[in-house]
Amino acid sequence: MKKLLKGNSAVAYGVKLARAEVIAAYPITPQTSIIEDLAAFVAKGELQATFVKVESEHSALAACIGAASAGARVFTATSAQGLALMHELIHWAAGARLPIVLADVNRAMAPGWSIWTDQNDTLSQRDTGWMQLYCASSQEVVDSVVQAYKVAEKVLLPVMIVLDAFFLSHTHEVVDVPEQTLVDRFLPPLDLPLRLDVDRPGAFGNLVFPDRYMEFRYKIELAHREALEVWREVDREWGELVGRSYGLLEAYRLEDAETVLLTAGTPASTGKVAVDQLRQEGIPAGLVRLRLFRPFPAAELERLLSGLRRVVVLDRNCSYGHHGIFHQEVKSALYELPERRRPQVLGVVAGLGGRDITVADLAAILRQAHRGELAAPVTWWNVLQPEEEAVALAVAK
Amino acid sequence: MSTNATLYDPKNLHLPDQELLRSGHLACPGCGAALGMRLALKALGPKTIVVIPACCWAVINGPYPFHALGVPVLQVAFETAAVSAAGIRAALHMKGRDDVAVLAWAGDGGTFDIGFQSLSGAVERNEDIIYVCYDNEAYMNTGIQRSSATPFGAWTTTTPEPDTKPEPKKNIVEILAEHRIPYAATASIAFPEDFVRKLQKARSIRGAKFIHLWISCPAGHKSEERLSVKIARLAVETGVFPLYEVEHGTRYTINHEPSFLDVTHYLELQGRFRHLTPEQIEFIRQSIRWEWQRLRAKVAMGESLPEPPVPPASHPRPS
Amino acid sequence: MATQARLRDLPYLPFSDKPTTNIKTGTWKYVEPVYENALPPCAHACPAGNDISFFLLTLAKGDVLGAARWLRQRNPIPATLGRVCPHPCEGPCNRAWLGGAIAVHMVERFLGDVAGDVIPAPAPETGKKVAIVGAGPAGLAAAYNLRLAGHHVEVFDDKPAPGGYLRTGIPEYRLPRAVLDREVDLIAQLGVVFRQKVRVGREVSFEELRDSFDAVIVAVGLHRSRALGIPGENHPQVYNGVKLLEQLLAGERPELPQRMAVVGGGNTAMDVARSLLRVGVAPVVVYRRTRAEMPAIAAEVEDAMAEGIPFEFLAAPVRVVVEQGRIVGLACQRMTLGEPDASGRRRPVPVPGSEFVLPCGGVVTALGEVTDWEGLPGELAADSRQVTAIPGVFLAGDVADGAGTVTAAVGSGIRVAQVVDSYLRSSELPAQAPRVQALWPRRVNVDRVVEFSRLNLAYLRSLPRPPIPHRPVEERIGSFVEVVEGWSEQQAIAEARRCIECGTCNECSNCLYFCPDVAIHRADGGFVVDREHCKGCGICVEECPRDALTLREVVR
Repeated sequence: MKKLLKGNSAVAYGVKLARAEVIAAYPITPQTSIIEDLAAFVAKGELQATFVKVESEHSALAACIGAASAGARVFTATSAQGLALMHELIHWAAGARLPIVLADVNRAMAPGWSIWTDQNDTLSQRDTGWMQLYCASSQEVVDSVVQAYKVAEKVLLPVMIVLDAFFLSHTHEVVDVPEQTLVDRFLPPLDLPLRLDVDRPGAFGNLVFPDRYMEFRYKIELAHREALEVWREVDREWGELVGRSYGLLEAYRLEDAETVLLTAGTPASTGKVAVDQLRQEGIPAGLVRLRLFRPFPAAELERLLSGLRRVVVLDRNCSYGHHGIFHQEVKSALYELPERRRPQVLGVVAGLGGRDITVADLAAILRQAHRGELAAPVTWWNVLQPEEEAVALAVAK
Repeated sequence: MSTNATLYDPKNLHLPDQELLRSGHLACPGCGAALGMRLALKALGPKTIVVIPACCWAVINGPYPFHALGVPVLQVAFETAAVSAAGIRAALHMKGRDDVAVLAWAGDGGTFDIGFQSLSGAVERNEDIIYVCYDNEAYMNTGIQRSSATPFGAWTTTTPEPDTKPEPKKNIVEILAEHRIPYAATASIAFPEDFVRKLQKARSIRGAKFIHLWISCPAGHKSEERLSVKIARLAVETGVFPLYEVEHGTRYTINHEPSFLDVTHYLELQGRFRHLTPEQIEFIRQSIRWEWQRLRAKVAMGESLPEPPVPPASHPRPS
Repeated sequence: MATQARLRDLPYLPFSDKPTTNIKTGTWKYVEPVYENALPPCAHACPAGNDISFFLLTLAKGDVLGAARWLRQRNPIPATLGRVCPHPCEGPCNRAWLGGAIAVHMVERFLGDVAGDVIPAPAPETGKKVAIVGAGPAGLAAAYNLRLAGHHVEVFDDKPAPGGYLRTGIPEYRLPRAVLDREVDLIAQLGVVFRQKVRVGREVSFEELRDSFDAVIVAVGLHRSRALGIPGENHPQVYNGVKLLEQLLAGERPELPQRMAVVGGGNTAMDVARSLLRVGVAPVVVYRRTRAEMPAIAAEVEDAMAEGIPFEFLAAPVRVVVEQGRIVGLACQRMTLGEPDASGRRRPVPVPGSEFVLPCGGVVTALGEVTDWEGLPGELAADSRQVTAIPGVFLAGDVADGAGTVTAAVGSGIRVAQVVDSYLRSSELPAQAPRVQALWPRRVNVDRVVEFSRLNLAYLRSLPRPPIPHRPVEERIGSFVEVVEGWSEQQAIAEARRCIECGTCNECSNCLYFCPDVAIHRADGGFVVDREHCKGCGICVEECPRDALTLREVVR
């Protein structure tokens, strides 16, 4: 059924369709309407769930861990500071192999206080063992939440569904909300193999000595590798059911492209417009949208980018002291390619703290990259530069 | 056998027979926390799920693949005992298993300090859990560092002489009483029947329940292992640790009238108090007297008040 | 936890469901608890070595017959001892601090009176024969225990009936004859042969005994009285207390003066004075020290005073005053107490010029007795094992160590029976005198006596000692009816339940409940320590209210 939904509402609908049983969440802008919608669903009886209105995000994830350990399907949502506060337990949830679904509305980290979007909050969690999926539309959000539960419960890993603050979370679009019966067929109730059960008493989380800890961590890695295939499979199955599939990566006008923009989230949508513009100018541009970030779809990426001249990775984040994170990840994934097939990989850091990334920005970036004018390895875009560089730029202009 | 005589009962203690604690756990010899858990599980039975944050019991339970209890255990992060238990309760409720008790079993560090926020939150929301703080009055698992449960004058590794702890012990039961928690009580391993009764009473109440259990720690208190129960008894009999219950933050019941032995009987058995000066001991004596006066005033206050008003059916007290 | 395990055999997360019982924490300990019965102070003090706490425990459980049997395992005359023993067990009784000592003697008496199958069966016949001279308490105890050991026993006694001092020297108001007769009868039922009215040196010689028997035990007691040593003591109305008592107790009623002075401070003096009262004489007890130094059983002195018998303390007789052939008084000198003498008591010292005359028509001497060695090969002496210099000849009772109580005599008889039994089986004598407590069927560490400080008072409340029922004075002084009345079964059981059971496990289960390691489990009639898991903390030992556990070093 078609509804006009912003990204946050799409999350709430996805969770309702997935029949989450326990929700524990703490408000933080711009996630708040997700949990308000869910509270309303529960209060009206549209969703049979217990909503634990915890007193912090750390407690929110702790409550989810408790409930999931007892075999309930759980959900939480947060942003920035909240996600950072959860960090200890983000590690915990993955180590505990709990199929928790968390929606993070990408928001810049303080100080100074910022409620606008960038990607550092979720990318800071990339090493924890969680799966991460970056969405670009409200439709994709509702579909991805349902898919996420299915994948998570198969491979027994928690997953973050990521949406940009305001650009996605608060922008309305027409969404085809799937029917509950269809989702019920697609997503059966959770049957957690090992859980808190008085009929099968065991302990979770005892001390593990060095002679065994590594095996359990290896199993997490193996689960991630399995997850790549499971994501493909679930996405395909969902496609057959509702007619919408997304893949692990989205390729746009990659045939005969020379200069490709690679990014995640809503800038990708903007990027497609820029690519069209450049094509009209005769420049063979293309775009890859990174959807699944963890596990990292290295094989797909290699296949898509092998042999291309150059790739510009747009990061709305930065790992200070090195480059943007997507930039690093892509470079390392492509390093396995033989040199002649390996494209040049340039990085652009843009849009931190919610600074707008316009069509003009992306077109300019693509043009400059195509002409070899983009500095290597990384360019901080549309930001005040140190004095000397500003003067040099002015002179160059 | 004579038919005239009543049945001979030599037992001093009448406790449930069931044993859900297994031998071979890793507690130190003479550990009060081990005895406490043994009694708690006797009281609560096999339909119990236990949440254990970082604390001595995280180690006592044994390393993977061993398990010391005959009930399920979820080990959780340090700060999260109360809220993890609340999460479990939410799941059990959704699965129609309200017959299973959820027991958060945390040390003083994970209750008074780092776990305080989540405890306060869970109690304010009246989550249906039983929370037992087994209190050995310092961070014993990490090697005897001070907590806000450490009493005045005690030596710890972070309050070494001459900087022994200047602050008094935080009164956790009173804090939770002011949350209007349905049921809060103190207990001692030297009074097992009282502890068991309180747990069984807690289990029968819907909502948040808290029991503050005083336990001995030979390693951290620097006491003889064999005296663990005796020292716990002296804590009560000298008045240092009163045994009482408080319902809905108002109705106080003192469960045991101590003989008020001089506090030196208690202090002299623990090396952590060895350095106390006569002036410090006199301060402790006066503090005991003052705290008991305050406690009795609360009993009287509770008796002077009528029952609190009951919320209307449209907004019942959540369970 | 070897790394040789297969990855797929591991669960997908660290799920622990193997019991920790696999971890043998018992290797941690360097001391371990041991259930070891210790010696309660009552049994430590009992001259007959009664296993007091255990028969009290058996009775406390309601097993009246079992308790009676346990008591009679070595003790031949509990009904008697319960009545006449001065109960030295009750002095050190730890319950004294918590409501009053256990009235052990009242329970012993109750159990001694229990009818039924209370005597153990003797061991198979050994073919050995023992002769015992004297059927008093020592002789009876030796006879009983040697017969139970399977030997043939014959007791030679010069009185008409067995019992010795029990029959001739203890009045019926303390020990009814029916009670004594029954106890002797039970011993005879075992197969002990009594040869009454046979005096060694008259009807049979000592050498004949030595020839016909494999061992001879001399238990003749002290039946020769000390003399007054004052002028006038040969007057016919100066009576020997022991002989006069024997007559009265045999039922004779000789003509006696209206008022008689009884000289002495021991049990005989009390028994004589109270018996005289009952036959219509007005006795006055004359004693040269004060009440505190009297060797008589305190309860007897109390009872005598309650019955109205006057006492003249610090008075020593110097002369019997005779006028016209009749005694008119006993001249006495006032005494004062000086330095202690050999007995440890302060020596009476005459006060010069303090003579006075106590009016009376007769005098009875009760100054203590010594052994009558006539008919025996001289004054025999024995070592601490009660072995004499003559091979195969042993001593028992007052004649061996003069301890002076019936109970001590019984203890002496039990010990000599052990020595003689060993001699008869192996021709060897033990190196040391046996301790009766070490002969109990249940093992006890006789070197560990439970002092009050070793009890855990947290589990013991003060429970008041019940009164000992006495017949009212008016009722009792007119006859020889028993003064102290017995208890009902309910009362006896109640008193048994007041016993702390020092050093004796009564399964109170504190140890079991307080073990942090669940390393104590119930076993047959007690508990067992799981040594694989016990860490040796010692809480069980500390929380045992009654010191029935001890810690010992682990030997590896």
